[in-house]
Amino acid sequence: MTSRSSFFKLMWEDLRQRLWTIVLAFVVFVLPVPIIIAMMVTSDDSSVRDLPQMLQAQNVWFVIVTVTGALICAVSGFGYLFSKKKVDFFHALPVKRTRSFLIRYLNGVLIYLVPYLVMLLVSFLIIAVSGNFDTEVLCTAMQGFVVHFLGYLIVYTTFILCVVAAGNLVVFFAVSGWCFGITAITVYLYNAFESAFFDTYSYYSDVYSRLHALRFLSPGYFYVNTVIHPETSMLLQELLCTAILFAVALLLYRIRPSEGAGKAIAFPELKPVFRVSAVVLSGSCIGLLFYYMADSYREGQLPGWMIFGTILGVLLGHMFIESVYHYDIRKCFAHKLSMFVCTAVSVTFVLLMRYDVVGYDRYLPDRKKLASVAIDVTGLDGYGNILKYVEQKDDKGIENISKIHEMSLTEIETVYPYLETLVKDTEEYWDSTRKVHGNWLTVEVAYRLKNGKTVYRMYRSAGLREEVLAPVYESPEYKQCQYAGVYTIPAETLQTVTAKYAMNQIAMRMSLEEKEELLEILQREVGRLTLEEKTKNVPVASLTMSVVIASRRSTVDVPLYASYTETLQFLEARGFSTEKNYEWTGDETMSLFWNYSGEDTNSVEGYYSDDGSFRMTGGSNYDADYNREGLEVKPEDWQAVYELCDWEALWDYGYTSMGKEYHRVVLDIPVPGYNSYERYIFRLDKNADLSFLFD
Amino acid sequence: MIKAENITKRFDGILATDRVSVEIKEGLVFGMVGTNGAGKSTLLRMMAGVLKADEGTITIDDRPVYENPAAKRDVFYISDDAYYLNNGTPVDMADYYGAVYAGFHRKRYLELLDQLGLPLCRKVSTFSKGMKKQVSILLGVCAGTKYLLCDETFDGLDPVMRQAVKSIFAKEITERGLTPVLASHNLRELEDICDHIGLLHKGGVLLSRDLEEMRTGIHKLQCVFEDEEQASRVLLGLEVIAKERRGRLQTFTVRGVREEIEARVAAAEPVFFEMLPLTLEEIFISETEVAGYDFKKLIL
Repeated sequence: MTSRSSFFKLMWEDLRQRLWTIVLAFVVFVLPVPIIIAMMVTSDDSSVRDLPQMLQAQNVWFVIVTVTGALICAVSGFGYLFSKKKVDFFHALPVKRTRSFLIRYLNGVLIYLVPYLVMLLVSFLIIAVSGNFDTEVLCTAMQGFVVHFLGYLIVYTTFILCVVAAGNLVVFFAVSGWCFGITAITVYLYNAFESAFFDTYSYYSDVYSRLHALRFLSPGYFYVNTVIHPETSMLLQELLCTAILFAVALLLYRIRPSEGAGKAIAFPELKPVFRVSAVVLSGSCIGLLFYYMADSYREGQLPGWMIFGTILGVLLGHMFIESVYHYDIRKCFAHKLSMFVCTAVSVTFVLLMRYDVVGYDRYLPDRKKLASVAIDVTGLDGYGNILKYVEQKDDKGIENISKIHEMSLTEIETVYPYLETLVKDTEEYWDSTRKVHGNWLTVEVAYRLKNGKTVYRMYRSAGLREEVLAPVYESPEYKQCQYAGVYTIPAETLQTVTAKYAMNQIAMRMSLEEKEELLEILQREVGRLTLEEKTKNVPVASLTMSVVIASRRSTVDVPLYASYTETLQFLEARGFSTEKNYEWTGDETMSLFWNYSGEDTNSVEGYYSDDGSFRMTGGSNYDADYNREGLEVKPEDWQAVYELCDWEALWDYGYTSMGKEYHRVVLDIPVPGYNSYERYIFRLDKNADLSFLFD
Repeated sequence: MIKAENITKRFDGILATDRVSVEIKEGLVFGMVGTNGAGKSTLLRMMAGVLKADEGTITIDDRPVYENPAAKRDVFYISDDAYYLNNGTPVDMADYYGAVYAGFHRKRYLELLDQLGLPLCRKVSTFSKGMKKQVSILLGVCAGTKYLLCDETFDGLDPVMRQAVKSIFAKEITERGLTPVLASHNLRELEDICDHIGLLHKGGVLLSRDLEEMRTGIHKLQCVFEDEEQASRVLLGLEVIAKERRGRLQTFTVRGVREEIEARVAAAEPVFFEMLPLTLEEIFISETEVAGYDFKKLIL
């Protein structure tokens, strides 16, 4: 018998032993998907359009089948290692362990692969017979196949590694949880500590970036990530990670002592690894829980409950793990030295975090290490997001993008003084008995270091700090990010441009040359906008650019300031007026909001119709809420109040009064012939003489 | 030859075998006896290449056995609690072993199954304990290996089946030089089948002797002497390792050549004397007592 034929004979015999998994794989793969596809092709057109979605990477059914299949195949192939009887049987055979591993591994792959391919083939046939087969279906299905197959390989290999490391099924599940979850749990817990104890913690410090950085320690991350974003580079990294896991699993399988069957952990050397990591995490986690339960209410005092919780967590974790290791509750205090070391490590860690020993809040990277910086002064230019035209591989359009992720200020010398001021201000802010005094602003900062790392911080600023912020704000890089819509929208995608000056609204259709000219003027004037004008003045008008890309309509709002003379002239030349020319009819209704802070400027929901008018979508609840807060003004006083209002564009997306207070006037004007109204919002100077309202 | 040299194996710090050295020659039936926990199964599992010794080496015909398929192809191991494939029938088991052991004799296996009246296509899991043992033995015999390691394999076999298995072994030994290694805690189980016995105790080999050699080198002598002086004269020069007296009848366990002992005793003209055969148990009692152990405490 040749070696090769022996290999395939053993593969065949192994497959015979795993017949039930093959049947199960065919049932979960080959039956449901083609049946649903057959239903779809015999249904209406919308179902046919959704056909690619059935076979795409994001189909949750495939994810469930892949993960469950990987678990079942790993246990059915290597689960014999949990039984002394089976280990004696298989390890006494004249088969090298490497060969045995390869046979079982390959069979596990085939049990998933063959049903998947059969399912694809049957699905393609059904779609082809119905006449709906095209390259989109083929490409989507093949992309999904690659994503799930590579995902299966990494999850399956990880499960095998866990089977080899564990000595019985129960511990296998625990070890699997550890393998798939330890990195994520650690990152989440660390994040929770940062959030709890560091004043400059930013919610942009998301776990995602950390998980991404630690992805080679978190096999599940690759699969989840590639399902959501099937990128070639990530798939290749996933393959590399699988290869490493495969090598480790094979090595451990070869050296696994047969007497490990039935024990908790097959390799005594691995016991401390699982124990220490789990116990320290348990201690830190319960310590943090106790902090929130008791210590967080006792600012400035020793966090006694947190320390107690940490020690309790270590003890409980240690007792549990040792009991599992020995199958004996009486052994729960075994390895006392390890328990003491874990206690010391956990308590030290929570105290280090609590008192910011590492200087998290004082962090300011050396300017030489900085590649770029992103800044978002909350409220100065909207709240976090910007609109930008984005062209991707298979999609393009206006996207709502996080400013902190998009901005890239590379002139470090310009921005550094502002950053230093922020660090100083923040320290002062939190030292001043942790109460807000004066006009404190929140500033999010992203430091992008030359080593590729990104560090996020949230600072407090005592006012705008114009002297150091102005050079940053007025830099081209800042403007190009903040007004990305103006800088990136292709002129040919502009459908209508609506200029608004309170009740004067005009929707314009322009030639391509006019659109290009408008964008060019706008870019120039936006680039010249100073921080002083931005903050000291409100916009005199606004512009709403309606963009249609691939049948999708988006709108981008641009505030127009008095300094935008060229833009205003351009618009006036096309019929736009900045004159206050509305004639009171008496059919209007009005609400007045006293000392309005201006922060709800953007909360009015609605859309612009083709004629340029704004249609409310807020509904009656919206009105009801406002009416409760509003000051009741007698109808006979409405016109007098209106006459005091400035006609100014409050539809400035992102405009804020920066803490100044105004009265706010909401005017609803009935639309002739429709059972609806148009709403206009005005700002009313706080110093205006409104004494007649109280007569 | 299976050769174990200074084999030590620990399980969680507990010593299972302690510097065990033993040689198992080809063509013999080797019996390995010892109490529970003496290390028999551990030694067999190491010989089968299942376990790796912490110290020492085990070789099969001068080849290390652990992770060495070339050496393991000559060994078939029957565990005391053997595993049978899920839902596997005797035929399925043959298919599996046939894929692993090139010399697996399927035809003979089926014939023997038939001879022993074992169903071919019934799940082994539904068999009685004895039937399962028979299947294991037949699989081992038909695997075509030089060495067959049986751990408590005769435990559970009825006397008829024991005889049948013995005759199968005898045939295999004669025809192709099979070397069965039989581990048991019961000496009587091995007495009528083994050529060589190794006695394991507390992880070490207490003694390892050829059974025939033991039987020819040790004898039971019953005598009635006229007086004590005659008794002393006769016993002078004999290697007496145990003696017992009931009235005037004295029983001696004597080491030496049978003819020489008979001649020496006859020359003294005692009132009565007779040479009796020793059971294996008696031989072991004598040998272990010489070594300073109470055999009855070691083996049932």
